[in-house]
Amino acid sequence: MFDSNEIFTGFMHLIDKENDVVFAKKIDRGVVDEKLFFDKAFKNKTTTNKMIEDCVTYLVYNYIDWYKITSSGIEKSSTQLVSVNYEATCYTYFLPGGGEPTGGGTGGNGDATVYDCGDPVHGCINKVKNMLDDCGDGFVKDENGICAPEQIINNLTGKADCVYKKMVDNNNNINWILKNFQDGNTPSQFNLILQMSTSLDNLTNASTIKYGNTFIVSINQYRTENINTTLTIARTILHEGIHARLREFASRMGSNEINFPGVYDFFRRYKGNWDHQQMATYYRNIIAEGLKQYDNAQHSDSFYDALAWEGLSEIRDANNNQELIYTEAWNKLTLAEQAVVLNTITSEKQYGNKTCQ
Amino acid sequence: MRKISLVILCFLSVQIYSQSQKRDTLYLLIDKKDSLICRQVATNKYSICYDKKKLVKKNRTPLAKGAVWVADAKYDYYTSEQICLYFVFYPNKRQIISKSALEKLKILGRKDFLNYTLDDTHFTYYFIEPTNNIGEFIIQEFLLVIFE
Repeated sequence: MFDSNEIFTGFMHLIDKENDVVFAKKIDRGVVDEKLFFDKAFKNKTTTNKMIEDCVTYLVYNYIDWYKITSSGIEKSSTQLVSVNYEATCYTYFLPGGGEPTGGGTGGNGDATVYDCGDPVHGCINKVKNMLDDCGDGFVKDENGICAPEQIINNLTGKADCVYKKMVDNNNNINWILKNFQDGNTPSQFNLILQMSTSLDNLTNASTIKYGNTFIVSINQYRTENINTTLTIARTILHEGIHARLREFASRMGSNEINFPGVYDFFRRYKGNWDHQQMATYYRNIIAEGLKQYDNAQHSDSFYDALAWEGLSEIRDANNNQELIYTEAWNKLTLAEQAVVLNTITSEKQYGNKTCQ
Repeated sequence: MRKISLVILCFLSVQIYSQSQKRDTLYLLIDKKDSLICRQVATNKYSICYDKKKLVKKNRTPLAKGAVWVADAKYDYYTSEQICLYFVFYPNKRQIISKSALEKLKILGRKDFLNYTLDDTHFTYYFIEPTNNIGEFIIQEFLLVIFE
């Protein structure tokens, strides 16, 4: 059971020894929807066909409009983005019953779609379980098994969108961005918006901005479509995801030498470059691992490790010159090792796959 | 006496806690004579640097020979290094204030201002610039941005 019903969204079932559901409720953020699952027919049905939901998830931007009241009237002064979240509305409810599907019900507690379980081997408990495991579009299961609104909003287009979706969906494996966006068992308190940018200069792959509780990662559209390979784009997305994660980590409780001595130490030593320095020292392996998984391990580990160095072997200076300020981790490599890394990156940029399908 | 000390301690703890949870606003008055504050007019982006450029000798880096990087220990050069942070303006967060309003704000110096950038969730950054009218200032919210 959950410690607090207020954070629970999903279905609650009680199943007897005969696999009959004897009790079922739908709960939305701790609020019980009594009327949906207690129609008269419900009690006579078996677990063979239990529930399914058809939910539509909307991305909701919440704004506050500010108005100025003057002697001449009311005048709108500004609009403030205060939060971004998902809201789900469920239209169809699959109530238990027998037989073939009987229709595509819509509209709250009206008609119900009914499916046969059709799984004599495993029985229908599995089917119910699988349904319960699926949080639905726009929701993901957190560390405690609770379905929570997905915190990453993908507004990418074209090749970047294709790469991102492969990173998330690749063999139904882990979402590397989300993994980077969490702090161990502590769910992230921040949203991440991924979007394209046409205003970044031609040398910049991406930028990350944080406003309130939302990180906005902007991917350079020109470089994505014309210069970067799919692996390079994946690396950029991972790199920016780690920026967001580190900034979140630094901000969650207020960074200081007591709460986050590691982060604070990097900040104290490297000032504005602290997160690149920290990423170069501790997070390159996460990038390399994510790239390897994205690429289905077609290359050696050293290849992905070399690619992970991009953006960490060089930090731009005030004049936007790259290749001038090196991270400490980079300086610890031998000249030969550095040459191998740079040649791998150069070769990937020249000959790597630039098409995402 | 012990009880009074305990009450004072509790009071102070609550005060400190509430201060630490508060989202604060930081103000930087843009000094146009400060060479470590640069504004790109086209994008309204600011770079704010910690220190002046330092000449640094680089002697541990491969040399690009054509398309190939070669480990060349003899290769060294001097270059200028400078650590800066970048800020972009946040739309619709801009207003005009008077000098008297400006004097009520707690304005930080450049270096002190940058020292708050580690924890940018708990702070809102405002830049203040004088307008062409004497005694009038533009105050505008800016966001810290990281480039790759």
